[in-house]
Amino acid sequence: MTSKKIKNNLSSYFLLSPAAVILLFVFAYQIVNLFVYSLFSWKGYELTNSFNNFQYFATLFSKNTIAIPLLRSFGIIIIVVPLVIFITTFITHNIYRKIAGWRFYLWIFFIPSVIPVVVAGITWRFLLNFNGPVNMLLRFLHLNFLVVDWFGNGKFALIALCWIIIWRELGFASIIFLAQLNSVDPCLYEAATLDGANEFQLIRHVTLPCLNNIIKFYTVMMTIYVLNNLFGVVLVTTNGGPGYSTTVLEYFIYFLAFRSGKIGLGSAVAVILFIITIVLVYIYVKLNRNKKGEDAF
Amino acid sequence: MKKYRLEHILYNIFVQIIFILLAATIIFSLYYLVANSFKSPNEFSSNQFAFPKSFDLENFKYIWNEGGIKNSFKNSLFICFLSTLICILVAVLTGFTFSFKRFTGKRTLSYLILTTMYVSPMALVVPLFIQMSRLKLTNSYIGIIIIYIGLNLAYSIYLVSTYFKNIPEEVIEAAVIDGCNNFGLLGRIYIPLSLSGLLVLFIIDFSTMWNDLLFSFIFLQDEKYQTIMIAIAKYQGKYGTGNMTYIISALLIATLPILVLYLITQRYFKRGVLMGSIK
Repeated sequence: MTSKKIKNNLSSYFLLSPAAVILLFVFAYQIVNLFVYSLFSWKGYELTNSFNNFQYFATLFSKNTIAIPLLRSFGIIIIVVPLVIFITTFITHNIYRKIAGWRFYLWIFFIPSVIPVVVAGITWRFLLNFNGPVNMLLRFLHLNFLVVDWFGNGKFALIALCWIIIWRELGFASIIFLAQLNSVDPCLYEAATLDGANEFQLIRHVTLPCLNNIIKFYTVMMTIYVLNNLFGVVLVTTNGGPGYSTTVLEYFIYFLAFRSGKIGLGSAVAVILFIITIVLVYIYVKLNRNKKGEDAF
Repeated sequence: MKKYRLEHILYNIFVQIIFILLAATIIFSLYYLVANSFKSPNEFSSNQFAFPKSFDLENFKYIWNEGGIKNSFKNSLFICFLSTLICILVAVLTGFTFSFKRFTGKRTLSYLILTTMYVSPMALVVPLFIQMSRLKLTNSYIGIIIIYIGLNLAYSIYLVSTYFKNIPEEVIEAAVIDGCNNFGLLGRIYIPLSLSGLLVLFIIDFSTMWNDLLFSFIFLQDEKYQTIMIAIAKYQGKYGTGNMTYIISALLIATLPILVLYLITQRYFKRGVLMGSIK
């Protein structure tokens, strides 16, 4: 290595040091800690020196404690992700085809993405209250069979939760999908129309294949997002209840570590969440690999 | 041809109905927040749909002073502003190094930094809380600011780097030949030429931090330090049944700064979000 190269390296590392210090403390060091916390015994809020023989993990798996919140999280993902993709494809197609008022729709559909999660959550909690506007409207329309206590029943609370997530996500998904669609040659649509395709056929045979890549990529991205960003919505709408019916994996960690004081058990669940996320990120990176072997920046 | 026209019209009506219904949920939620924030509890419980009888600022006054939103609002502003500023400063240094310099381990480092964007926040909370408690940094501005900077750094570095890549190389070469050193290059070329981008990044980072509940909820339990999002989340227990109008006006106060920032810069904001999402 020449001295010039060494000098260059040193000055680069010097410039990178502030970022390195912060990222090492907030991420790397805490991940190491997390694994330590899940593998050593806790006495209340004190970490002891004794290895716990995977006792916390054994507890989690033996009584199926983890299976239910885990399934619940993935249940939400299975409802939310395909629905968002389905609705967004429909929205994007029609905005691309410049349906009357498309500028307005594009503008208004993005607004929920800007509204803070807490505000969106509480607002929908009020709107879906048993005597709230949504139920009033349903009664007014004589749709009494649809009038339910949205947050009073586990099943409906999950549906309400999914709706809030979808509602906030559509705008963001639309601009990603639309950016992809705008790079498509408009001739494709003209040719298909001349061949007598109607709009549904256009969606099926032109728009969907063009969005294929972005849909794959978005599915993984959204799965990671939903798995890791439910805490805010759950806390302000259902607080994990009624009962434990909306205690998703992420909320379960909070519940164990901060509400029941079981730091070790909470850390063990967090380790599992961390590993699942890393696997998903790996898939995500693989999907993105088609761009040569470049730097990330 | 006639059959085609009819089909086309029916299709358009179908789409319009769906779009209008969807737009209605958004418009109505916003209307619901604005209209009910001016109502008295009685007026609210008698009719949630109606337009308020008068634009009475009673709810806002109460929630701002007695409700303690004033303090939380200031906390949020202070924490988010400072964290965003430092975050962007660090991101500019890092982004500059990655786009201008060559050094060993560049590729690996860039991927490592990018991965931090996807680490589960909940997995970090538990160990961070224990560490921060030991350092006596819970219930303090410094603790939460460090965390916010860390969480938003990868995204910021990524965005800054894409801005820096768009600077024409001739300009940079010319400056190097004229004898500009690292900090000269940053201050005279890189930062001034990507100022509009940095402004967008500022708004995106600021709103991400403003919207955060998880970290502020865990690390700022003391009322003195709490941010506006925790204040609101706690109001539900405090005013839950009787005075929902107080909560609604608090919701409006928390949304307005972000909504206004967004409406001013929406075109650039969307572009920034888009660039950040497709890596």
